[in-house]
Amino acid sequence: MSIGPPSVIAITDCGSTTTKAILVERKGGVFRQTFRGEAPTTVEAPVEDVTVGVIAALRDLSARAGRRIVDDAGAIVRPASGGDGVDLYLSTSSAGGGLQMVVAGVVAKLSARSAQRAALGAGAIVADVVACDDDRTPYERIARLKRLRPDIVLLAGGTDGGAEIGVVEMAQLIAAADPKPRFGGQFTLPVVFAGNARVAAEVARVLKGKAELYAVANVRPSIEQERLEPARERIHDLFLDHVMQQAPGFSKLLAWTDAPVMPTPSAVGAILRLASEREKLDVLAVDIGGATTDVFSVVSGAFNRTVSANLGVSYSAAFVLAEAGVENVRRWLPYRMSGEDLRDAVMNKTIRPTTIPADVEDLMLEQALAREALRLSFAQHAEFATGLAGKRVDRSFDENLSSGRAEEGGLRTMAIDLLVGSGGVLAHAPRAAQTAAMLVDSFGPAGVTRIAKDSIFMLPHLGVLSQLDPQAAREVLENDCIVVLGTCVAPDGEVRPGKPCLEFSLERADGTSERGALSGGEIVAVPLAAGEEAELAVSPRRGLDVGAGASKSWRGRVRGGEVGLILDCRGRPFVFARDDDERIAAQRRWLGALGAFEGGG
Amino acid sequence: MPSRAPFGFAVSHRVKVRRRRSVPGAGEIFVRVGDTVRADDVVAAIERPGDVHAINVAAQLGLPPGRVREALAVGVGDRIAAGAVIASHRALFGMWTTRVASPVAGTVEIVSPVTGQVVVRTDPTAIELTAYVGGEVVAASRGEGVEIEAEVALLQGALGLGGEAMGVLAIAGKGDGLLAAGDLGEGHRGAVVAACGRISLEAMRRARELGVAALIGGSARGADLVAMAGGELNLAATGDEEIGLAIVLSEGLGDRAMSAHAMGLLPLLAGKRVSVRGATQVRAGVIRPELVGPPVEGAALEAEGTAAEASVGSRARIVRGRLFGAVGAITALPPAPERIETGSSVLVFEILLDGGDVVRIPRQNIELAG
Repeated sequence: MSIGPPSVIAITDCGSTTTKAILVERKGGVFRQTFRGEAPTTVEAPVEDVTVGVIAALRDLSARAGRRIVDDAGAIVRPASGGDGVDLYLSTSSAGGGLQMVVAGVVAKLSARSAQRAALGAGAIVADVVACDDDRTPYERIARLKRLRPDIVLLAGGTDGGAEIGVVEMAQLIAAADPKPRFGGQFTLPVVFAGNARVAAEVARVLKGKAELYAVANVRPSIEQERLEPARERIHDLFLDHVMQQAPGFSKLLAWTDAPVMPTPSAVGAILRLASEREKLDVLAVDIGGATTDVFSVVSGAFNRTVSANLGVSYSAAFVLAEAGVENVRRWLPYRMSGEDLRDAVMNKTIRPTTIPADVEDLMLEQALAREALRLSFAQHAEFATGLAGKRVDRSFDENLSSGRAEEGGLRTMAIDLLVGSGGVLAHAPRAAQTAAMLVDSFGPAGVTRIAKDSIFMLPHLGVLSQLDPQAAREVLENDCIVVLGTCVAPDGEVRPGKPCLEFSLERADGTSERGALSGGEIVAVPLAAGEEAELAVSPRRGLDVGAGASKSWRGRVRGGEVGLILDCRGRPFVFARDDDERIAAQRRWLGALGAFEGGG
Repeated sequence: MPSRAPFGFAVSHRVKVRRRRSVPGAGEIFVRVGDTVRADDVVAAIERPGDVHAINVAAQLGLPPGRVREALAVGVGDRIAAGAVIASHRALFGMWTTRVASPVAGTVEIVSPVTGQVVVRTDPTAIELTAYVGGEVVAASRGEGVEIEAEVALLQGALGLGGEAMGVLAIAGKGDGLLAAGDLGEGHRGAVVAACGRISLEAMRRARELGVAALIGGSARGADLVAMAGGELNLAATGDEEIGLAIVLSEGLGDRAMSAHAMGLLPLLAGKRVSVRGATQVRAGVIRPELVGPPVEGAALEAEGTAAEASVGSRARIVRGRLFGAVGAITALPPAPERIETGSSVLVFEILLDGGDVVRIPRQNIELAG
């Protein structure tokens, strides 16, 4: 469907702390994001009505746009007429923690993994994955299920005609644990059964009276096949019909919108898939929040999403520290800080999550923590986004799996054409170079990779818009949403500190040029402005690969941005000096080279 | 123009509060609306469902799951003792009998012909709930639980561990200095011990050995809390740690003393029976750890607040950065964002610190000092 001209669209995203509204208008035949507004999300006490925050965000948008979007009675003014009203109102939501699920299967790496992918693809936070072979006793699994308060449980297991006992065992565990749903004391927990159809009747008998069972097609009908869409669709429907209806104020919100409210991560996935298909790019995107980090990838047409539910820079800061370890955070600091002081600072941030860095060293610490949250999230994503276990996968991943370089799990960073960052610590960093530095340091892109940020986190808004009008969503994405910071060129392979690494030449459209050579351990930013493209030729040292194959020169066009062209010869993975003074000096050089901090910090 | 700021952690000599004691479905309530209760009165008993044990009878007997029923000596709903034989099977032409015993006492809940398992649930346990605060019962029902309204003295903290405790308040340590193990003795057994400075790891361990009910202090090192807990902490939601006592830290992590306001309250509660809640939840319904006790004689009643309007003259404490813990009065609320040292543009407060310096601090980094 395309929306007829002229068109004015208001879109909100109800985040866990903030509800953000944008206005999208057709200007000169092209859709543009023109204004934005925001207000605190009001799902939790004392307000406990999400629409209050939505109206507040829309009123803020109205004030900035000079357009009356909400009338005095609190109703959205439709249609657009002159300087008033909107033609459409859409929304996404991750408020109240979003959609929280527990996934159960028979074999952790087979049915449970497929079920997890289905849940993540539906926009859920997967609180736990329980499987018959997950190294826990039945008692421990039951105890865990009892403690969790999921919105939906997804039960998979057994290929069609395959395992039966394990599936029923898992159903028995769910029945014995009798997990209570998060919202609504009188509400029966929905369980989606997406396993061996032969035991559907027995599963229904076991769960009778304990859960409301919905049977869909097997997510893993055979070892070689995965079929996620039926389960995803059912989860999405249940999310709208049950979870959202129970969450405070959501039934009102559902009545206001012109399309079903999407879980925020589903919407982000939708727009990224669209971008990838249109631009023929392999995309990696990350949204780092205070509590969770979502990673999305679209590589060779395959979409994957993971949610690292305990990795974030405020509410989850202490978890990041526990997971990464003090030394891994400290290694990014260009100044001395004791491990004890670092731990105290991070723990204080966790218990006062709304505070912000007020001095440069505090900012550097927060960004160091963000690097580790991003790195760990990416590692989890890469490990997850492999081909189906048990089958040789006929994709670009597979041949790269054996290379042993520049790869995390089954996802080789050489395959990534575009790396997009969003979330406050990335999008609102005081300097674009800090955002670029965090992304490059955390993900270690190899080859030639465009680095970008989502300017104000409007990916979810564009995702839900793309369900109605993909063209409108694409236009806003290209013109207003994605801010290209520059292009990173990094060789894959063993880099020797101080030894020649690569030579480059850059020819800009205005006729100016740059030439140079880098040694191992160096990183530079060559000026190349936003909107500019240039012809780049890179010749790596023998054995290094910059995208054309080992030892081969690469030539092509690269895009500029606020940071420019980043040439990164620090190696993949980075090697940090063991001596603290040397390590700190290197960090100062690297940050200074990118212009991330004055004098490198 | 005023600006909202987090109220900060409350320190109050007399404030009216309501505390809810949740009673989910299975439980008994012993009080009625209008009753007056003391903090240590039992107001309800909760029935916690028993634990579930799955016994793979088919595997133990070497039978197909569908034949397990023939071997069973029990049925669904039967109560059994620990060690009771629940199934047996004679093999080798009757020469060999294999028996399966239940590892626990309880009730047979599930017998599955598909999995061949028998699921036994142990008996529920009754957990008594005290009132926690002394006051008037204002709600008492299965759905709502028991809610008690009381006028109390209140000291809220930044971080708590270990759950609830009660005891007589004793003050230990030297001024706002470190609380050391040697500051605690036999006389502190069962007490709620308060110190104004940092609590050392040795003091925490000594307190546990002595059977101290709770420790209240200004701060602790994060590494010490981790060592005390025996592992990393989930700071986003605490209270379930089995550390042998409750801990409440008024300022948080590091080496910081309590605010002067908090220090001033403690001597007024010394010798009195107080309740402590060492639970923290930073979102989804914020919960702050606290100490509550009888209201201070002659103190005026204050309102329990969660956020207040900061305006010129409001007392504020800085809670991040180099000036963490510094207190002063707000002298201006500049309406436009200002560029701070990091390069970000944010709204700030101008504050005249008690030490005489004037500083400009991001509004997110301030708590009203109360």
